[in-house]
Amino acid sequence: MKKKDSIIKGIVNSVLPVILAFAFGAIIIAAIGESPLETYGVLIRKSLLTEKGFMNTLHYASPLILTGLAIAITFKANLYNMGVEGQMLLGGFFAGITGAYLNISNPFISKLICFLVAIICGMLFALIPAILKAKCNVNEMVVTLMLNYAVSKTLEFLTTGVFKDKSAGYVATPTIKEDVMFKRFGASRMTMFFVIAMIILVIMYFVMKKSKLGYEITAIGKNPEFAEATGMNVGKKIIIMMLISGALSGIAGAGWMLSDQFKYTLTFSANPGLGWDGMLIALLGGHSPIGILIAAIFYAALKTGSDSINMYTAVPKEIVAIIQGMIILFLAVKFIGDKTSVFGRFKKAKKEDA
Amino acid sequence: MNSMIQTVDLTKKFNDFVANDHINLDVKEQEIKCIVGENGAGKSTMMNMLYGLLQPTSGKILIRGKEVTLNSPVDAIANGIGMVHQHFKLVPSLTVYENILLGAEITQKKGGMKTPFIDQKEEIKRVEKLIQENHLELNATDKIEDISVGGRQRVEILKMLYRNVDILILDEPTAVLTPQEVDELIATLKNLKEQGKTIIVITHKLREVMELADSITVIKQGKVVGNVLKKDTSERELAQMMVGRDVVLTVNNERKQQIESEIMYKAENLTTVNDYGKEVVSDMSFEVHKGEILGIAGVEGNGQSELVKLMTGLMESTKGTVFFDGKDITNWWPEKLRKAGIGIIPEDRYAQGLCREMTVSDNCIAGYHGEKDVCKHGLFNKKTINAKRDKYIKEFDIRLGDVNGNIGNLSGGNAQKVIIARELSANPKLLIACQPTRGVDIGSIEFIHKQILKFRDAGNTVILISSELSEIMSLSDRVIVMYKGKISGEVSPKEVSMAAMGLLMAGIGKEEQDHEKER
Amino acid sequence: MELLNSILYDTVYHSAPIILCVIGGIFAYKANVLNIALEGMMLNGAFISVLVEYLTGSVALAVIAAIVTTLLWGLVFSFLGITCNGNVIVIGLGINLIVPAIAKFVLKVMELANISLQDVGVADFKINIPGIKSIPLIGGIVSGHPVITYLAFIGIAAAAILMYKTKFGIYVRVVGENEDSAISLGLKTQKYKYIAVLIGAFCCALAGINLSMERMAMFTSDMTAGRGFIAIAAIYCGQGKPVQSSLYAILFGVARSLAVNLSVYAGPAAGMFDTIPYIIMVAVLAVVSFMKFKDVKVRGYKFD
Repeated sequence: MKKKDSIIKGIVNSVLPVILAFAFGAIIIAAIGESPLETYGVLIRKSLLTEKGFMNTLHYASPLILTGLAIAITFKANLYNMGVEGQMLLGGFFAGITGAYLNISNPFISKLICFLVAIICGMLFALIPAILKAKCNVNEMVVTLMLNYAVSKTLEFLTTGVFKDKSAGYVATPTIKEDVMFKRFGASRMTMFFVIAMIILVIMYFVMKKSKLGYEITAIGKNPEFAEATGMNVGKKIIIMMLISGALSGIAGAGWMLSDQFKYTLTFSANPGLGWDGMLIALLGGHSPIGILIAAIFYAALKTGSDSINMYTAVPKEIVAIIQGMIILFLAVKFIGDKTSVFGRFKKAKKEDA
Repeated sequence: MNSMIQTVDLTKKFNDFVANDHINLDVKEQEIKCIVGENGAGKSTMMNMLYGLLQPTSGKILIRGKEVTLNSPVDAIANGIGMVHQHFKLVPSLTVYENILLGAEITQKKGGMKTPFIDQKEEIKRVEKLIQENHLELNATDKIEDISVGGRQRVEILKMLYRNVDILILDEPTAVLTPQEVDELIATLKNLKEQGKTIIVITHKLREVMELADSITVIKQGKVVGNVLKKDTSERELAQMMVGRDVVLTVNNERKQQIESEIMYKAENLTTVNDYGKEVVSDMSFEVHKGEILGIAGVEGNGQSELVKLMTGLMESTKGTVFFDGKDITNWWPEKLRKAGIGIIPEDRYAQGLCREMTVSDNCIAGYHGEKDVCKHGLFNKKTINAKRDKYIKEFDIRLGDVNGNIGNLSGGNAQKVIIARELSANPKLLIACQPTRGVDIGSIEFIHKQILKFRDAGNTVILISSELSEIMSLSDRVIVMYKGKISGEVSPKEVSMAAMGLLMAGIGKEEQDHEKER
Repeated sequence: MELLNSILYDTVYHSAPIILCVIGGIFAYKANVLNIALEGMMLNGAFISVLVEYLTGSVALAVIAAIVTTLLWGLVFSFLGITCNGNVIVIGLGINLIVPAIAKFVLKVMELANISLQDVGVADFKINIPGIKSIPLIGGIVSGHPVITYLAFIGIAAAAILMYKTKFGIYVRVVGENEDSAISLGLKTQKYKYIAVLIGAFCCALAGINLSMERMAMFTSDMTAGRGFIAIAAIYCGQGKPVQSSLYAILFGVARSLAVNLSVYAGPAAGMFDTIPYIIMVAVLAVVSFMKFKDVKVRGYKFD
C-alpha cells in the first residue's frame, strides 16, 4: 500500500512538470501563429514512431544516460556537482586527440585506450572539487561551475591553437582514425556505444540500489550527520562519488566522440550541453537508474524531434529548449511532498469541508 | 480574583493525532500557573496556540473574558501575551539590544520626518533602562554568542517585557540552567508577579513547581487530568497524576560481581574547542574499569555534547589521548571505533543515531553495514538484513505498525530501542550511552535501563552521559560531574546528597564546599 | 603608461556588471535563499533592453521593460522557491536555461543572428565628468563610463547601508540566521525573502542593460558568459558582506582587464587569459574556506 503510494508520488512528481511545460510550450507555439498539435505530432512521430527515428533517439540517449548517472550519483548525496559538463568535455576532447594521433592497428585496443584516457581526464577534473570539498569544505557547486568555464575556455584555446586541424575549413581538431570510430547499425546512427551505456546502466543500478556504497550515498543525502556518526566517513565518500561521476562523464565524452562527432569542435556538446542535459535527466528520473533511462530516452526524443520540427514546421527548434527549461523549473517544486500521501491531501481537504 | 486567560474546549489535531483534547484552562490575574506533564503530553502544543504559532482545530481562547483569535505571534503580543521558548529564538551574531528590539526598531527622526535608519543610541538607552528597572544582570551591547545561557534567557524575558505583555509564558525554562541559576530565575519570576504580571510556566520538574507555583494544571495525553492549588498538593501526588500510576524509578541495581581492576577506557587531558575557538572540553582525565558504569552528570551545555562527540569520533581533540582496551584510539573515526568494540548510543536520536527517511531494516544495519554477514563484495544480502531486523523486533520488543516502513513512523521509545538493539547485538565491550532515555515513554525507560544493567552484568563497561540526574544516580557505579568543560568532582552515587550534587553541577567543588561549611 | 591607464579603465568597466550582480545577490544569500539565477536574470535584462530599444527606439522604455521583466523572473523564482518551497538551486538552473532559450527563440522568429542597435551608439551613454576628466591619469579612468557603471560603485555603499543600518537589513540577516526567531516575533519572513530576491532581480536587470545596451549597443545570446556565476563565487568568498564581496568582484574585473589588455602581446595564447579569473576565484574560494574551517574540530560537512 505504502510502496504503491510512493511510486505514484514519484510518477506524478515527474509527469506533471512535463505536462505543464508542454502546455506552456503550446501557448508559445500558438502565439507565433503555428499549430501546437501539429508541432508536437511531428516531434513524436519522427523520434519515436519510425524505426530509424527510434534508433536515432536511442543513439542520442546514450551519452545522456551516462551524464544523467554522473549527476545522479552526486546529487543523490546532496553534492551539487555541476562539473559533469566540464568532465565530459575534457574526456571527449582527449579521447578525440588520442584517437587522432594513436597508432595502434587493433581497433578494440585503440578504442579502449581512448576510453581510458577520457576516464582519467574526467576523474582528474572531478578530483579538484572533490578534494577541495573534502579537505577544505569549499562549496563544490561554485568550484565546479568556475572550472567548467575554465575548461571550456582552455579547450577552445587548444582547438584553435595547438591541436587545430589546418586542413578543416573551420575550428576543429583532426578527425579520429577510422578504425577508432564505432560502426553504425544499419541506416540509423546507433552504435555499440548504446550497448556500452546500457551495460554501465545495469552496473550502476546494482551500485545504487543494492550495494554498500549506494546505501551510504542515500544516507549521506538524507542525513549527513547520521552518515558520519555511523562510520561512513563522508569526506572519503565525497571523493569516491566524485571520481565515479568523473569516470562516467569521461565515458560519455569518449563515447560521443567515437560514435558521433569524430572530432572536437566548439559545439561538441551542443547547447546547453550534454552535462546540463544530464542534470535535467537525473532530476526527471528521480536519481534512480531506471528513471534516468526513461528520462534520457524521452529527452533524446525531444532532441531528435527538434530537428524534425525545424525541417517540417515553421516553429524554431529552440522551442524544445524552452520546454526543457520549464520542465526543470517545475521539477524543482514537489507537487506531492514526502510527508503527505497522494490521497491524504484530498482526504484532509474533504474532512475540513465537513 | 479575575480570570486573565481562559481556554474553552481547546482542541488541536494533527491529521489523526489529537495533541490537545478539549482543554479547559483558567489562569487568574497575577498568579503563577504551572502546567506539568510528561514529554509529549501536549503542553507545548497548547502554549503554541496561546502564542498564535498554531491555530486550534476547535475551541476558544478568552483573555479577560473576551474571546480572541490569535493568528500569529503579533496578535498574541498585541493581546498582551509573550512567550519565552525552550529553545531560545535569538540571533547569535546580533547584540542584546538588537535582539530585544527585533521587529520593534526605533528609527531616527529628522525634523519630524521619519528616516529609514536605525537610531542605535536611543535603542541602547532604552534597553539599559529596562535592564535596570528589572534588576537583571546584562550588558546591552554584548553579542548574544558571547553571553551565558542564563543571560540569554534574561534577554528573552526582556524581549517580552519590552513589548509590555501582561502574560508571560515560559516553556521549560529551567532545562538549561544550573540549580543556582534556577533559583535566580524563580526570584525574577516572583518579582515580575509582584509587578502585576501573570505567569505561565511549562515544566516537568516537580521540585521547581512546588517552589514557584500558585496553582497547577496537570496534562496527560492531551487532556487535563487535574487542577490543584499548590497549598493543597504534594510532589508525589503530582507525579502520580502525571503518569497515572505510582512511579518511582526503581531499577534493581544490585551488583552481582566486583568491578575488575583492569582499566577498559582511559582519557588523558582531553581537550577540544568549538567552532568559535572557545575551549569547551578542557583537560579532562578519567578512567573506567571493566564491568563498571561511569556516569557523567552536569547541567546541559557544559561540554558533555562535545565530550561525547570526541569519544564517538565525531570531533577531533586539540590535545590529549584516549586509550581503549590497551590501544591508543585518539581521534579514531566512528567506523574504527565500532570495529574495535565500542557501541554508541548517540545524543540526538534522529540526528546521529537514525535516519528518519530510511527504512527500519536500513537503520538496523547502520554502523555495521560493512560486516560480512550483511555485505559481501560490496553488495547487500537483503534476506539476512531483514532477518536481523525481525530478530531485533522480537528480542527488544520493538512495536511498529509497518515493518517495511520508515523509521520516522516509530514512536520515540521504539526508535530508541532500535538503536539499543543494533548497538548491543554487535557485542561491544564498551557502551557509550548518551541521553539514552530522552523523550522516551516510561515503559521504554525501564526496559532500556534494564538492558544497560544486563550489559554491565555480563562483564562489560558502560559510560553513561545524561542530564537526567535520577537516571545517572540509579544506574552508575561512580559519577563524575562536568562544569564548564572540566570535571568539578567525582562521587559515589550511593553516598552523595542531592544538595552536594547541585553544588558540583554549579562548579563548586568538594573542597570549596567543605570550606563553606567551616565558615 | 597608456597600457596601465587602459588596464585600470577596463577594470572599472568589467567590474561594474559583476558588482551589480554581487550586491543583488548578497541579500538573497543573507536571507538563505541562494539565487543562482543571477546569470539568467542578467541575460534577460540584456536581451529585453536591446530588443525593446530595437523595436521602439526608446531607451527609457527599454530600461523600464528590462527591469519589469527581470522582476517578473524574480517573482517566478520567489513563488516557486519560497511559496512553493521548491529547490532554489534547481529553479535557478531552470531560469538560467529558459532565458537564453527564449532569447534564441525570439531571434530565430525575427530571423536575426544577433541584435545590433543602429540609432544609439556606445558613445551616447558615456558620461564625461567635467571637473574630473581633466585630472591626468585619474580622469581617464574615472570619467567616461556609462551611467550604470557609476551606479554600480555607488551601489556598494548603498548596499552596505541597507544591510547594516536599516530595519530591512537586520530582518534579512535574521531571516537567514535564525528564521524561528523572526517568526516568533511575527516578522513575515517570506516577505523579506521575496524582497531580497527582487532586489537581486533589479540589480541583475541593471547589470544586463549595462552589459548589452550601454557598453556594446548590441545583444548576443551568450554575452553574460558566466558573470552571474562569478558573482556567486564573489559572494561566497566575501561571505555576503557588501564591501568584501564587491572587492572580489573587482578582483575579477582586474583579471579580465589584464586578459584583454595583455592579449595584444601574448599572441595565440591570448585565449588562456580568459581562464585566469576563474582559476583565481577557485583559489580564493579555497583559501577563504580553508581559513574558515581550519580550526573547526567537528567532523562532517554542510550540504547546501
